Amino acid sequence: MSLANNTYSLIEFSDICIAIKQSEMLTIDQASSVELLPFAEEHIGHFIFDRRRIPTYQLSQHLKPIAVTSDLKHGDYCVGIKTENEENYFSIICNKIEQAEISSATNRIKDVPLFMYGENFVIKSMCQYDERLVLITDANLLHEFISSQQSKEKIHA
Amino acid sequence: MPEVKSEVKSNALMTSAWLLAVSESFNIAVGEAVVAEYILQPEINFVPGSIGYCNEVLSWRGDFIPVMDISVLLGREPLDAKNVAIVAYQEYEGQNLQYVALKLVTEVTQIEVSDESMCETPENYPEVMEPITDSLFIHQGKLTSVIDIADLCNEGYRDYISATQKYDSDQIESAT
Repeated sequence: MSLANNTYSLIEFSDICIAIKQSEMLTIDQASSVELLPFAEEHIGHFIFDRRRIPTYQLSQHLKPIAVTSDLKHGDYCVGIKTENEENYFSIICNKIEQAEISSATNRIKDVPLFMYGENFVIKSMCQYDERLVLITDANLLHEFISSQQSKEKIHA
Repeated sequence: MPEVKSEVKSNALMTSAWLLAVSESFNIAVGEAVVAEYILQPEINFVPGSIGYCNEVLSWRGDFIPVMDISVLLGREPLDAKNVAIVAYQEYEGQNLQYVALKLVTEVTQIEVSDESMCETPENYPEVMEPITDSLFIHQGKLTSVIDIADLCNEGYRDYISATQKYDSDQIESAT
């Protein structure tokens, strides 16, 4: 995969770090600004941006095979994301966020082998940044992933 | 792919191979030149959304390579042991060597295999392994499978496994 030098946002969960292009970022705020909806089925709360209510998801709950607690911790961040066509605004909770310049030359960006792809695979490629694995994705894939997980949960319910 | 060294001992063709215990009760053998490295306790990273038997990667020689757990492929629990053998394969002649890490239960062992130890496929042989098994032989009383690593790392095989698992779960659902 050839990717030019791009500015990415590294979104860290407890033990996974995903990267999306800076241009797909909407906003970053303290997670404490999320209005929690304890009984909501589809998302854990709302995040207000530009007078819009943006649904907030606990993405790590879907990414890990074992569900993690949906309680927000002090110091967590809420990251607003927009899809390329700006049709969908959503936000996710993460532990940490940082900006990074990632290039195929210095970070050895590599496609994930096709035989690793599972259903609703959310990762486009992977690379090394600061001696750690960074999984590169994009807003559309993330949004599709969240939607598909919700559909599954509804079917199970 | 470099050819495996062979030599004639007595009347039987002897071939050097590595014996890899990929599950508590399932051994595979690969050619001598196929194993690039044996690594104890490497740092392994989870890749969300990837297929169950290959949902991790490890950093090796500046690159990330997939980590495969054949125990999961066989429908058993994921291996706790994190020792891995890095094995090489080519999908077609002339392709740069590709690598995959296989999780192991024990250390790798070098063995000599002769044509005389070959055996037929037993009736209870795991169905999921059949498409990627080149041949079978008995080593120290245990059935050992000669696996084609390129077939194992092929998306067609991944699709076959996904379809099999879906088929199985459909069967279970209809049975209940």
